[in-house]
Amino acid sequence: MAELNSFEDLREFEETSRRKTVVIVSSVAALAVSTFICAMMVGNYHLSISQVFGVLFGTIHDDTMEYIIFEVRLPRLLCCFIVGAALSLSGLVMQSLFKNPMASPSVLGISSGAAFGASLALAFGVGGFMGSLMVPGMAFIFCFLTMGVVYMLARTKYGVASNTLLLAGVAMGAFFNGLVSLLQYVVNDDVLSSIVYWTMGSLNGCGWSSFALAIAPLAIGMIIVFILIKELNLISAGEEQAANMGVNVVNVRIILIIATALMVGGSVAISGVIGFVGLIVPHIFRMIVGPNHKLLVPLCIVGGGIFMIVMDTIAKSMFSIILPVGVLTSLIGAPFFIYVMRTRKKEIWE
Amino acid sequence: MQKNQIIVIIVAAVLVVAGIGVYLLATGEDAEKKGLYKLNAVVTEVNMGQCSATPGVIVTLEDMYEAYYGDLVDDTLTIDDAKADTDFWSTYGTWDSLISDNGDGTLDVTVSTSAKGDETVTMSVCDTAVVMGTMYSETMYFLACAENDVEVYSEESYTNAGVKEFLSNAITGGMIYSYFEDYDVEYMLKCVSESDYFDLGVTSVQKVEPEKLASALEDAMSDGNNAVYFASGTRMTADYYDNNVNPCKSTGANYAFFGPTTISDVFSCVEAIGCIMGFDDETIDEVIEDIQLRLYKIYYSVESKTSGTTDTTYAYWESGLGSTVKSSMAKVIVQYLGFDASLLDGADHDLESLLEDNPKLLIFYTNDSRTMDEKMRVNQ
Amino acid sequence: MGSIKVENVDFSYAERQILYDISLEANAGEVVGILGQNGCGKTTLLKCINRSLKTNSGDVLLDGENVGEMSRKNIAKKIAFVTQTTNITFAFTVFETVMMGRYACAGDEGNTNEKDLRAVYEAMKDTETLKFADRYINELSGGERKRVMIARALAQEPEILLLDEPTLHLDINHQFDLLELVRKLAREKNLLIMIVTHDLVFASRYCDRVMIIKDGKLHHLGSTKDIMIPDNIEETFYIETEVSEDSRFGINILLIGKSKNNSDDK
Repeated sequence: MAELNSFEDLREFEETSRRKTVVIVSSVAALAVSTFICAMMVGNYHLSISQVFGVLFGTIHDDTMEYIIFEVRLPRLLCCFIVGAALSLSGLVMQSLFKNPMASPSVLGISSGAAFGASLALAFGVGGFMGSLMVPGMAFIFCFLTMGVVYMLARTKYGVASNTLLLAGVAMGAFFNGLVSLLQYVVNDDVLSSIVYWTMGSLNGCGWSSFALAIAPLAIGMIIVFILIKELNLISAGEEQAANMGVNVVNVRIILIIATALMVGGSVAISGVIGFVGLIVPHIFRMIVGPNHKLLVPLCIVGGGIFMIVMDTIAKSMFSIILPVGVLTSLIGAPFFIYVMRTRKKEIWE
Repeated sequence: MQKNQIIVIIVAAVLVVAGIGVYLLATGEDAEKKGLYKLNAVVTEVNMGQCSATPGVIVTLEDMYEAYYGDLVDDTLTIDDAKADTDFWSTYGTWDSLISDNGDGTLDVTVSTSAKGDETVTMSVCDTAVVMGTMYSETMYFLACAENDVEVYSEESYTNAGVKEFLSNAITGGMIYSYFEDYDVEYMLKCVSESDYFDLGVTSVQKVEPEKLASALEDAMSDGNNAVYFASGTRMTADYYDNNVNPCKSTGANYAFFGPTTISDVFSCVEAIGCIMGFDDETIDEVIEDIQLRLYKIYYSVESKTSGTTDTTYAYWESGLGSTVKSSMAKVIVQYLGFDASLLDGADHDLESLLEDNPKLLIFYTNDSRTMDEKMRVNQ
Repeated sequence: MGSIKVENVDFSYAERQILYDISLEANAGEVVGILGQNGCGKTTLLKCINRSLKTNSGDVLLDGENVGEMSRKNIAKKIAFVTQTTNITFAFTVFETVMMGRYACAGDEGNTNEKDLRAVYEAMKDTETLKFADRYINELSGGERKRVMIARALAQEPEILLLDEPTLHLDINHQFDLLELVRKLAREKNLLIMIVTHDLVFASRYCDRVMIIKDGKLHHLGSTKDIMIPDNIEETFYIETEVSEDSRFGINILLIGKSKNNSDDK
């Protein structure tokens, strides 16, 4: 790297960095688009590539084919994308806020709370006033309830320390997991299998109404994080230092936690608990491009979406039975993560 | 950053509005053209309690046949026609006896459990029963109806004095009473009152409390009655065997566990239960033959309607919580009606794979609380 | 323009009182040294000034405005704080790190622009950290890192600079560089600079005024020449010194050794 001496040198350096960011994000975005299109080709209803393109460009007009493409595959892939993006982004925020590589969306206990809410709905019909939105509605409500409880538990006279928040989250997560287990023991077999299936996470039933349901909280959550990219950078560099540089750490933290609850709640509501995505994806990108959230946030959104689309496509078509995608993310995600960890030398956690 | 923030907020608002728009669009469109409606399949609902190896399975078969095929091809067939049709009779007409009369007032019954396989127990004819499983109560109901010359599941049968007297005297307790309410088991609700029923509070042998069972059996044996405990043997693995058998041994009550999985097993159970509860051979044979004849009529009709066709037609059966049914009896039912049972595998079937497999018969349960549109996955 | 007034400030943490009734004034263009033994409350005082800590009673006025009523961003526009320890969790580049200092000001204008870049450039040039721009912060030595943190504080373009033991870990030549820079900033850019330090020699040479804190109370405050006398030093630090006038540096402190009336009890 040439010696930086003059102001022009610095300006050029900054512009090169900026261009690099744009190039990286654009390429990953392009990859996302091509992955999306490839995934459109795959499904249990057999359509050839030419048929898919034919329907997309309007040269083929077959009722069933159009239905499959526009009402089944397209919304499902969109749901995959936003769920993957939301979970990855939530994981990123948790890891940066708590400066903990093991942090994931479930670390605040909110996915366990959501699972419990959904289980209550499945087992006893709690929340029946929401009609067909009963299960996703309960999941979402309990997600926020848990977040509130965790925050209240962690509050002391002197404010809310990040470590205390983490501990309270782990405790509440364990508590709700216990409650779900209790429910599983008490209910009859049909309900039991539904609960277990739900906790494994799946995008099987996701169509346009799921997308419409989830897009608002997910988009709002993601936009909030986008707005707070600078603050995320500063807070991850050190909370005290961030405060000294003008960041209102307490407020920013609350807002980010709410954004996370929105993203996790919205995802869990339509797809159940899909683990590992929020742990692996941000970590992998951090290892590859470093800790600057200007890069990480868009990459986690786009990369998380790609990851989810790939996982879901494999889960639904590669085996003779359709696997719940949450099972697959754990099975495939972990070894891949270990591989990336061993081949990258850059130590980024002190 | 202010300018960017404003742009971003506008984008968010647009997205939210778009989301609402999409949702309204999705619900506004003609639901008939979406989801599983595209299959143009026959949709039928069956009572969950009559889909296992119980006499009521004949009702399920008849209803499903009618829903899909319509009228029977020949309603005038007789039991002799059935016996003459060797293909039918050798598969569905013959059955193994689980019981033999020793001539001295005792019966030898072949009891089967997962824990100990087949065992022979000797018991006397019984007056009362503690019943853990609707197969047993339904069998007794069928037998009582035959004895009193009323048609099963008719309004008359629920008000017939003989049927009511038998059931209320014979069934003194057993599985949780609310089950009958949840699953509309009419004959129990109408003939056995909750106040006279010793409620064990559970629905399966795995959750039975030995002490409570012992009390129920003592209650059944009061007034010098011979009591029997009926329960499912399939669920009775080694962990649960003692909990269910020891109370019988300690109170001196009899026990009989069966694990029917085929249609022939239904007949075996009808005979065994009938003998144990003191019904005469004539009544028992009448019930069995009636079911056999009804079965044959369906069999005959299905054979004629499907002869010559080489295409596989699938049926798809889903429970109230969206999971695929996979019980062996469900497969038997579906195959009996001429369908391929491959889709009854308990695995997840997404909309695409169902549209690909194209099942022509969709089966749901009557106690499924979802709306038809939900079942047909319209708003996926 | 860059003035601080501390009025009767008390501070306690968990029932332990740390600062007792501190009052002082400091103005733009001067370098003020804060001296005292470990644990006497020097860092706490700095943190009360930039509102990292909330005082129990008393006020801190920043250009007449009560710091307790200002937003963090507005405080950061005027006050920059370089902490003693710099623990890093993530490997940001030096450039990214220094650019973080622009947070408080950048918000008004939009994305990184000329003004931000110019401020960062000046800050890095003054601290001789330009050559590290693309290096990762965790690859630097402790001293190099400290200079980057100072550059980051300067990038804030503050009116008031609070430094907590800035010369810790720095090579001796870089210590001189830093203190010369500090003086330059005070004289040429009219900054108010408050430095917590243990280094009596540097304090005497580069500070215009000095305050001595003992057991949470302000024991002395005044011009360096008036305050840095052997009696005061011995009373606070329990060492013997000889102080003489020097035409080049104002005063010269010679450290003799540990005081004979040694009493480390507090």
